[in-house]
Amino acid sequence: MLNRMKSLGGAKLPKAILAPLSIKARWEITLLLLAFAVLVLVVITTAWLNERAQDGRDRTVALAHLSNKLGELHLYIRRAESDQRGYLLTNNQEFFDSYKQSVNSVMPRLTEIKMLHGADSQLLHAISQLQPKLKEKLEEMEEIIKLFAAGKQAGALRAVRSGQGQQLMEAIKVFFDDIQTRQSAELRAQLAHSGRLEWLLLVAELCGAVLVLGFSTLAVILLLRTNKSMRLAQQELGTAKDDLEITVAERTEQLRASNEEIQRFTYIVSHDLRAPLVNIMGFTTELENLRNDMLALSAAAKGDQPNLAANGEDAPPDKEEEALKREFDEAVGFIKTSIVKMERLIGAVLKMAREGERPLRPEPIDMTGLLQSIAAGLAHQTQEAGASIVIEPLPSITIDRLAVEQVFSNLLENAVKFLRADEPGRIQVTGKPAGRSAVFEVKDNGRGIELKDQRRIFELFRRAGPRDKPGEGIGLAYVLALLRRLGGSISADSEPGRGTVFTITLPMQWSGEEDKRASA
Amino acid sequence: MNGAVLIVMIEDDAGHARLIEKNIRRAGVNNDLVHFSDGASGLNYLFRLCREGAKRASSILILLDLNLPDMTGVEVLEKLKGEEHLKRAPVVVLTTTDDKAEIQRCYDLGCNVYITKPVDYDRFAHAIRQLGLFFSVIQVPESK
Repeated sequence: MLNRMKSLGGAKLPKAILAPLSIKARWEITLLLLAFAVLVLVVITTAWLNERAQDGRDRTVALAHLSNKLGELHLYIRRAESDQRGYLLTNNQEFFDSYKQSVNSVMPRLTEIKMLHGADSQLLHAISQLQPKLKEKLEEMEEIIKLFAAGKQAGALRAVRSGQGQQLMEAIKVFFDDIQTRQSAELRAQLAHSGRLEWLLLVAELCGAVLVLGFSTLAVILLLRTNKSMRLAQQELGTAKDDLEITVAERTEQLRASNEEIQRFTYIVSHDLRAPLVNIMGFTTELENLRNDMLALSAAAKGDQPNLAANGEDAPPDKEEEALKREFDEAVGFIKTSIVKMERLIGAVLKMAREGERPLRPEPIDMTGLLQSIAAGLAHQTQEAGASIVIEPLPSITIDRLAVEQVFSNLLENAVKFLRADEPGRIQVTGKPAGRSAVFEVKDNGRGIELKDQRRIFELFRRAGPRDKPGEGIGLAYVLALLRRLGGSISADSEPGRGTVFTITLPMQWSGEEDKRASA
Repeated sequence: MNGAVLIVMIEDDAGHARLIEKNIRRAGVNNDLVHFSDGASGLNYLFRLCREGAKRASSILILLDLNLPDMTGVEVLEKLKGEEHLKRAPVVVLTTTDDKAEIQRCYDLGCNVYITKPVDYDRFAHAIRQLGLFFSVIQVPESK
């Protein structure tokens, strides 16, 4: 097909459309896959960094919590001390209650801290050093309280003044400060670490963004290039199409011109052939009229007196004369029949030429109705032949009415003509749409057509089978010419002795454009 | 048609001319008949006839074939109907052509009768004879 297109249009189609996946395409695909892989990598990295950053944040929060808790613990112990002092000073039950509450919170809190931060060995070590001091202090405070409660205020105050409690508090404070310092350091380290992670994350995301932009740009560039090459290809296709259209227009014009010539030729020929026929026919008849005079003259030339019988009537005619008359008549007879035949053939050719000139007018046609009226028109012939015509429901098409009528009239007439002697004729017309065309079938159970004749019958003046029915072999050639004009086609399929099926294809919607251009 | 009417036949085929003449005579038409085998000579004669005046036949009837060698019968018809003195002369177009467009054209140009020559001689002879009878009853105007 490509060769045909090339020879018709002379334009070359771009190779890029036709060649299988070229190197360029392979590169492009690899590049895009690579971009995809890199982006996936970036996403994974970002997710991982995010995890780590989240861990860091969690750790920071935990550290902050710990600081908080340690602070609280320190606070409890200090409050216990100040509550104790308050009680000693004022003997107020409220101070005592508050002292009790604080004291009771200390150890549990410590235990809690130890439990939550069991993994931190440094902390545990520090706490293990703090713990006995705390215990000491609590016991010391408890003793003083007991002394006081027992009424030995002097003894309690003495214990307080001894400064042991103070020292213990100092030691505890030192421990707490230590722990806090360490915690602060750790917190700062953790924050630094988190900061770094977050910075890495930012870098990763920026990289990701840059890569996405980069690859998007690449994709857009590739797309633009593909678009451009497609547009180029489309342009070339457009040019090829235009060239093709020009060529088709030229060929149609040539066809139209040659069609016109053929029409004129046919027309002129048929008329110029008729004129001599008039003479031949006329003077042959004149000859006939002269026959008797000539024979009489020759008879008189043979003998001087006329042949008279005894009773005065003319003698029986000469045997030689009779023979001459017969031969003369026979000769003239053959001349006349040949002329009549020639006249009919010329008439047929003229009819075809005329039909080729008639402008065709498409209109929507109810085919079932049309075929039924044709069949009704053949009622006389069908009755005589003992045949029946059945018209199945047919699709409606838009086409020239007269042409289609002539096609099917011809086919049905033939079907009724060429029946079998032994079987009642049954002719059936069916049709169905097939895409943009409609396919009709005229089926009969007549005498059939030999395979070798199945194409010949469409030639002008050709017939098939025994010549027992009248006809010049014009009908099917005429039908073929009509169908050609309508953009349709016909074919015959037959089994000799069984029947024939003529398949006619016609466009569903005939616009008449091609015909107008071809015969305008 | 009175005996003074001259029949002018413009017909290029000698055979046709002869057949037509025979059958006209057989129909009993005895008027003078002249025959020309091309348009130019026919027209020349006719124009000369008009200019020469009363000495020649005062009435003319023209039998015209359309398939002439030097000009088309339609051109001859046009010229005849364009000429002041000849335009009333009845023109009978007698030709092989039966093209409907051609027939219309001839009548549009003013031909009086259009007859197609059939190949079948019986019908031909019959047609000419009918024409002859037609001649015997029509009135042909004076051509001056």
